[in-house]
Amino acid sequence: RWQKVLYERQPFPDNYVDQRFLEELRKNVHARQYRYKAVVFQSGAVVQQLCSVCVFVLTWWYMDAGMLSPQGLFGAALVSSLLGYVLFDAVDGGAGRWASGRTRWADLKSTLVFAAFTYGFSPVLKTLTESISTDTIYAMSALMLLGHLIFFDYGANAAIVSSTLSLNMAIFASVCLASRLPRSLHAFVMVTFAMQIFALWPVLQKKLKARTPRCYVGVTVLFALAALAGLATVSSVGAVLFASLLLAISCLCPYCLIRLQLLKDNIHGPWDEAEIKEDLSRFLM
Amino acid sequence: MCFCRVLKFWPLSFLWSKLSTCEQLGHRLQHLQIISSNKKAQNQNQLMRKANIFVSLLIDVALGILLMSWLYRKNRIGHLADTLIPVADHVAEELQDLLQWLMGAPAGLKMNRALDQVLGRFFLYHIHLWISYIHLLSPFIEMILWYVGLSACLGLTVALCILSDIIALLTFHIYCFYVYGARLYCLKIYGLSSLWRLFRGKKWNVLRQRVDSCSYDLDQLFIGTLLFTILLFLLPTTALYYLVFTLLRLLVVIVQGLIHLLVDLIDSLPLYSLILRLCRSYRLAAGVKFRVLEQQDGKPLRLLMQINPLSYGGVVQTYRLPTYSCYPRDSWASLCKKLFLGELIYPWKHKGDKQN
Repeated sequence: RWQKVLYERQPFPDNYVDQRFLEELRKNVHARQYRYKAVVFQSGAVVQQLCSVCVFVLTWWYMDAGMLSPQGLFGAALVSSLLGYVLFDAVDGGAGRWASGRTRWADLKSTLVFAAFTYGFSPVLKTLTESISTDTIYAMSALMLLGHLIFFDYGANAAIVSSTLSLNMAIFASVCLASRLPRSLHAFVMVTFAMQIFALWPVLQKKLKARTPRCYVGVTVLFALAALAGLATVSSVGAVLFASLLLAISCLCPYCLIRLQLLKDNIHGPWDEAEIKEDLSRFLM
Repeated sequence: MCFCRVLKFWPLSFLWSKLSTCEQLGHRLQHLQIISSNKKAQNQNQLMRKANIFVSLLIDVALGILLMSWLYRKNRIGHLADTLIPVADHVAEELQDLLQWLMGAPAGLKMNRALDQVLGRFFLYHIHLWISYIHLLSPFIEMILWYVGLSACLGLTVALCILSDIIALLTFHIYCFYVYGARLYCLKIYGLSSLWRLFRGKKWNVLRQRVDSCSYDLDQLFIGTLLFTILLFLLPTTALYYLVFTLLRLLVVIVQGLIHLLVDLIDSLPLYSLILRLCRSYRLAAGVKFRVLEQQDGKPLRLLMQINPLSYGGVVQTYRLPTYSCYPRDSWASLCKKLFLGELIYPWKHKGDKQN
């Protein structure tokens, strides 16, 4: 009988295989089964970020054209921040705040520090890019916002994700754009608004998503509609393109993902690299 | 002896170490001590050394007296003093023009107007102070030069060192500007590199001397990014000022270095040995050579032995006098790196300097 060893002389040739060949081959052991509705729900994170970027650029556009006054924007942003702050605690009844141990006084302090800092530096920010051509500014901001979308933490556990880098890129883009506005008050309000929409809004949304999925879906749809409406007043072609982009991401891509899963063809077997299954952290001192 | 002890106290020793005249004087004093010691020379080397020092000193003093007599004839000192103030004024004016050019749009580069104005005005004010200082000194220049010129009788090397020191004093404002520009630039580069790490979400681990990832707070992130943007956009302005002033400073350093090289050359050339090689070359032997005089069968071989004298290069190399030589401190690579990072450079290192 043939044995699967090479150190014994057997009457078979060296490359002989019997009928048990590839018996231990397993296919698609770790493949996940996706459900359409769940994937569409999760794609809401990407839709939200796209809408955030869109709303931010729209706000900047309105301020540049003079249709929106800085005081108005500041007031609206302040009111919505307060609402969001109250909602943040109300959603899980104070459990998250109690778990993280962060007091309201610390929140107030960081808000004051950051507001004072931005207000103090807004004249410098205003004159920062005076001698740089407008095209360079637009290109740089576009690149930075694209980078923000790429590196954002949508909940995936990938190596490219870096929430620090994405936030920093967004703030950099906002400073670039804010330096093009007429006065330093505009710059201050723009940067503050950018901070709220890129740093505070995603935090609130993550919490909503975890706690109240239905509410989250509703908020996402409303946000997308608001962004589309704003974009339509500026450019109808842009609105159509943006709407199709959102639909593609939320409806078409999940469908493609599920269809492509059927073509998955991973093979596993005893020839794979060994994986350590037990938890080795008990060896750490 | 006690004069040398006095020189070791701190403010005096600091001042003394900065002026190359004092170094040269100290060096010559050492030479005099060697010559005037009562011990007889033990071997050939010491004898040659003493002789070399003596001849070198003699030639130096002779050249110095020649220079002095040339200077003091026809009131050349007065002419020199008269042209010194206008030259200093001219240099200051050129600097002012340069700063005005930088405050505009130099070479089409994009400068931040506000920072440009601030830096430009700051340096212009310094030049204004400098011009006033020069004008204050102008009545006394001729007298100072007259007395300083007398010290040329101590030797040509001393006169050259005094020239180098005068150049250093006259371009002191360039040195000041270089230090300001370098410090500002260094601070900016340091801040930028640290904030760039914050931008990517990393931090410098001092213990392990490497870059680690770090989770920052929201307000730290925000303020860090804001500062990073500001520093980044202000970088071209600072870099340009730094570049301009570094080039000026390097120019001055090169001129001073050339003078010092000349002084070194005069100091270390073994003149006595060279003259000996020329006149009595059999005194400096580098071996012997034999010439066959007669070679016949049956008779003993007769050879003529001649002394092979040392070549001129060999003479210079063997009998060179030791100097307080200043040679470049850094290799080219580390010099470029220091220039790029904005660290202050002290290109020449003296033998007695502490290693840091």
